[in-house]
Parts: sequence; C-alpha cells; structure tokens
Amino acid sequence: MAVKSLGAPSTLTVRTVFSFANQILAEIADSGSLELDLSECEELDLAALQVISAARTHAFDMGKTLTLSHPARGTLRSVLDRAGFTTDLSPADVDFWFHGEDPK
Amino acid sequence: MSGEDPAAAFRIEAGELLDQVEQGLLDLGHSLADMDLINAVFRGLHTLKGSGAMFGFDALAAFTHHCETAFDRVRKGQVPATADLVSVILSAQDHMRALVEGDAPAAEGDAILARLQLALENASGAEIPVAEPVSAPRGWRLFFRLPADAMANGTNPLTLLDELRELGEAHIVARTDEVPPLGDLVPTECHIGWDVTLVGDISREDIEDVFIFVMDDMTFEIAALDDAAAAQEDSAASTEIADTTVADSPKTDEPAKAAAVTAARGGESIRVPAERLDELMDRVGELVIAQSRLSQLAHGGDDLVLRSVSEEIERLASELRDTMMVVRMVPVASLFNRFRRLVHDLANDTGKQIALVTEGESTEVDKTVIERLFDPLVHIIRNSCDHGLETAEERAAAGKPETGTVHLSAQQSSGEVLITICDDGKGINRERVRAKAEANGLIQPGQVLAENELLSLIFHPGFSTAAQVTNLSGRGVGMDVVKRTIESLRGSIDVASTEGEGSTITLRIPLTLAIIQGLLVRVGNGCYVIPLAAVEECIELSLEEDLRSRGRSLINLRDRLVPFLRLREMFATGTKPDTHQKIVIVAIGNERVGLVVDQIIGNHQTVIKSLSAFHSSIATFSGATILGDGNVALILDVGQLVAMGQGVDSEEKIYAAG
Repeated sequence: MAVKSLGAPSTLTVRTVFSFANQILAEIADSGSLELDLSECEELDLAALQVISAARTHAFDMGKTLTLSHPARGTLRSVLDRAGFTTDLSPADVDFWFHGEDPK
Repeated sequence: MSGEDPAAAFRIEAGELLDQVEQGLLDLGHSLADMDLINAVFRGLHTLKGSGAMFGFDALAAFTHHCETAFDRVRKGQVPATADLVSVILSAQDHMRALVEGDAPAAEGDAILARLQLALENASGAEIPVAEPVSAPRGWRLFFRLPADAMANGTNPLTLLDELRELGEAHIVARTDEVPPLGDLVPTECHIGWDVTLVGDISREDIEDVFIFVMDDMTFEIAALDDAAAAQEDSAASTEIADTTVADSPKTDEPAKAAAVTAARGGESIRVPAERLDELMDRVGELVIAQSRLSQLAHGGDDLVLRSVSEEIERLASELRDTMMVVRMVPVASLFNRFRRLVHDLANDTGKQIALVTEGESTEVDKTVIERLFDPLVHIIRNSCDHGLETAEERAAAGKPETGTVHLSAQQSSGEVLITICDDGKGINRERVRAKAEANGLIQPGQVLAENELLSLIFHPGFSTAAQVTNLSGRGVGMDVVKRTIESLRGSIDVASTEGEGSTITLRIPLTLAIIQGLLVRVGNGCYVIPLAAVEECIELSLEEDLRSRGRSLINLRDRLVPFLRLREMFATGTKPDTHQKIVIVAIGNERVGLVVDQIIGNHQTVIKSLSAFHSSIATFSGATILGDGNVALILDVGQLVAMGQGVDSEEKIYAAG
C-alpha cells in the first residue's frame, strides 16, 4: 500500500487539534502507512504532541506505520524540548521524532 | 451555573478563602512556628490576590498583595511570625472582606498597611522561633500529572514546566505511558505525566506554588534528593519514582500528604443557592398538601385503583420530604468556626487568656436554625468570657490553669440538637443574683427558691435594664432576649453553675423549623395556626366574662392576671364574635398571653412556607401554610404576640394604678 501523507494545519493547539486527530484516525483506518507532515505547522502545543503520541500507539496497535515526513525542527523541536520529550529518549523515539539522529 | 454574575461567584469564593485564612491565622496565633499554617495562610492570600485580579477586584488584589508579600517573607524565614503580625493580618483580612463587598474606606487600608510595615520591622528584630531548616535539601525529585481537564480549563502545561526550569537546574522527562490510543483519547484532556529532578536551593513551597491553581485534583509526588541521588541525578532516569519517593522522603508525613493531594476532591459536592433549596422545600410542602387532599378523596370513594395510587404517592411524598429535610442540614462547624474569632478578639479586649474548645462540629442542623442561633450564642459566649472567666492572676490565685476555657459542643439526641456552652470560670454568684432580683422586685426578700429557679432568674426580663434588652450583642446582661430567641426556635435553654468551677448553658433546639405541629383556629372567616409547643391551655371566654372585661383585656386565671388579645379586633375581620369564643393561652418562658379566637378546629401538622418579601415586615405572622382544602392559613408568631400582650399588660397596670 502506498504511504499516504497528511499535512497538519498551521495552528495545532488544544482548540484545533480535535479535527486533526479525527483525520489521523480516518487515514490510519484507510491506509497501511501514514506520514504526518508538520512542516506547515507554525504553532503547536502539548495537546498536539499528545495527539501524535496517541496516534503512534494507535497505529502500532492496528499494525500500521506512522511516521513524520521530516525530522523535528523549528517550532516542533522547541515544543518537544519544553515538554520534556527530548530527554532520555528511547531508540524508538529517536527514530520517530528525529529519523534516527539523536538530537543530543 | 451559567448566566450567573462571575463577580458574585467570586464573592462567595473569596468569603470561603477569607474564612480559611482567618482560621489559619487564629491557629497560627497559638503556634507561631508552624510552617504548614504559614504556608496555608500564604496560599490563601496568594489565591485571593490572583482570582481577585482576574475578576476585576483590583483594589483587593493590590491590598492583598502587601499582606501576601509580608507572609512570603515569613515563609522564607526572613521575618518570624509574631503575635503582632498575626493580629495586623487579621484586621487586614477584615478589610479585605470589606473590599470584596466594595464598601471599604481607603484610609483604613492605608492605616493597616502602615501597621503591617511596623509589625514587620519590629518582627525583623525579633528572633526567629523556627528552627533553621535542617540543611536544606539539595534538590527535589517529583512526579506529577495534571488534572485531565487542566488544558481545557486554560492551563498551559508547558508554562508550568518553564516555571519549574526557572527554579533551578531541571531535568524533565515526559511520560506518555498513560496516554490512551488515539481512538480513546479526548484530545483536550491531558494524560501526560512528568518526572522532574530539580537541583538547587529550592524550597518545597516554591515548587508547590507553581501548581497552586491545579493542585486540588492533580497527582503530585515529591521527595527530597539526598546527596548521593543528586550526584548521579543526570544519569538516573528514575522510572520507579513511587518507590523512591517513599524511601527518600525526609519527613514521615510526606507520603500521606501526597496521597491526600492525589485523591480527587472534585465531584463530591455542589454549591446550590439557599433560595433554591427554600423553593424546593416549598414545592415539597405543596406536594405533601396536594397528596393529603388526594388521599382524602381516594378514601372517600370506592375506587381501589385510585386508593392504591394514592397510597403510593403518599409514601413517595413522605420519603421526598424526609430527603429534603436532610438536604437542608448543614454541620454546625460553620457556626462554631465563627466564634473562634470572637473569642480571640474578646481575649484581646479583656486581657484574659481564653481558649475555645469545640466539639461535635459535624452535628447537622437545619440551615435556618444555624443562622438564627448565631446571635444568641455570641451573647452567651461573650457573657462567659466577660463575666465568667477570671483574669490570669485571679485564676492562678484560685489554683486554676491561667488560661480559661470555653467549651462549645453540639450533639444530636432524638429530634433535637443539644448545644452546650461551658466555661471553667468563677460561676454564677447566687447571692448577687438573689440580691439583684430582690432589688428589682422579681422575688420577695427571703423567698425560698429552688436552685434552678434562682439561676433561671437571669433569664427574666426584669433582671436586666431596659436599654440592654434591645441590644442583643451588647455586653453584660440581656439573657432574656437570648431565651426569647431560643424559644422562638421552639427550643429551650437551661443553666447550671457551680461557684468557683464554672457555668454550663445548654440549648435544646429542634432539628428543623420547616415542619411544626400547630393548633388550627378560626378567627372571623380566616384560619390561623398557632405553634402547638407554645400552647398551654384553651379556655372558654363566656359572654359575661367578655362583656365584663371590655376596656381591660385581662382575665383571672387561677389567681393570676393574664392579658389577652382579641385577634378578631387585631385582624379587623369585621365579623361578629361567636357566642362561644375561646381563649388559647400561649406562653414563652414565664410570660403568658391569651389569644381570643372564634373556634378551635384542631391539631394540624404544618409545612411552614415563608411569607413573601412584601409581607415579611408584618411581625404578627411567622409564615403561612396551605390547608388540606387548598386554603391558606397564616401562622402566628407567638413570640411577637406575647411581647405585644405584655405591652398591653403594662399599660393596663399603669391604668389600674392610676
């Protein structure tokens, strides 16, 4: 099955994340692999990180693949740092968020 | 509660916060070094300032800020807590109450702040009573998870993490193991937890302050880092935090506290405006009345189905009424706590050392009863502190502990509540009571009186001077007013006293005022209810007696003159008197008054409905009820009528003397 890509809106916060979460759910149900493109995303918060984490678990449970189209940088990277997502990373986390390149 | 004025909601919240602060300050007055109390007061002030500013109470926020700053210094050990400082903040707290209500004179605030400044300066010179914190821990390890609704309520967890980083060197690890799969996730809820290691000279309070607005429902575990743990803190990504918290905990009570914080406190109770409860009670009352009409109807006919439905409704209505009674009950703690401040102030005013001990605060009483008990209790406690307890020197001379104790307790016993106010002062001097009673002509010189008769003279109106009778909260005597208030609650009051050992005053109050047993009477074409507890006897007013007593409303009842009121004339019914009029003798305490009615209909259990605001100024009636046939009957206020009758009585006496 082809890898589908889902682009995130420019604002992904607790107020707007709901529809993005629904889109992810729908796409994962439809395809074997889903790629999230967060490059357009200029503003995001913890709710966005939580949805992406939950999407990872969901995809794993369903036997599907979820990836990021680009390694985390810019806004996403700084929010990950602030939220404590980049300390003591597991190899799986390094793979997912940074495409295998440990940020440290 | 949508549509409610947020400022009004804040006023309620602020009132509760101020109550907490006051209780904290009063406790602090007894143990100035108690850090928990200092922190509690600080937190109360901090929250008050924060939410005050949020709701536009800027003057309050600005004023509170100064007090908060002062307490911050105490909390940080820069200034010790002194009795002086506590009392300034107590008066500041009164000023804050006024600011919340919006009627505070600005000059007063400035004066308080000046005193606060002075108290702080004086305190800086004093020695800090707190033992210096035993070598402050080098840091903390904590785990927290915010309440699920924190993000939806506007808390940004990232900001909290940033604040933690500002405290010192922070190692923050997000834990996403509790985040459910996307299908089960409510995206606005927060399920991420954090392990945080903070290194530096940071107090536990600084950390807790970060979470001050979310603390109530969050999971929060904290433990001090010992040096060894701190040394390897970078490598130690502690996952078994729960174990380490307990093991590393410096104080034995920490885990218990963490557990207490973890326990969710939301959802256990809701706040309902009192008027809604009254409204609900009214509806229940009407339902009970409608049900009794239905049951009359059902029992009148032969319809068995109707009868069974009617019985079913009767059962439900009575259960509903019982439940409603319980809903209206509030613990007396809310009443008792208000007296701690009173006793504190009285101790200051009189220079005596007074301790207030309360017991049975969880006893529950109808909220109306609680409200009406406040004034009488203030009076009794004032009397105990003013007249009962001796000064420290007198007590020492009498071989008693220097601190006098006022013991306030409540307990429930079969349908009534017993409230006892007991002091260990000098007791009531019987000779002085007798002398004063003789001087006032209440008893004959040398008259033989039983112990309780003599003591109960203090409740006699003639015992106090007229000026003090009207001033319930005034000093000194006026116990007759207390007695009358208690009796208007259908309660009773007893006094016992041992000279040199103290006095005990016991109030017996019914649990509820919402339902009474009444005597249903007819005056003219209208029905009225007289509370049965006040009724002593009913006698016939014969035509001759009626004619004979024209012009002077007194009857001779077993050699005692009893004044009476012709309700038919009072209510201007415009009807002719029945040929067989009756006099219902009602009594409050020792005072009797006869009420002339046209007919006595009988016993009637009554759900009291309060009168509308428009009618509430009519003193003769205390409420209304709906009769089985749907008619309204007014409930007579016996206390008022007795007072009125006694007024007539004294006029008559003057008339007779003249």
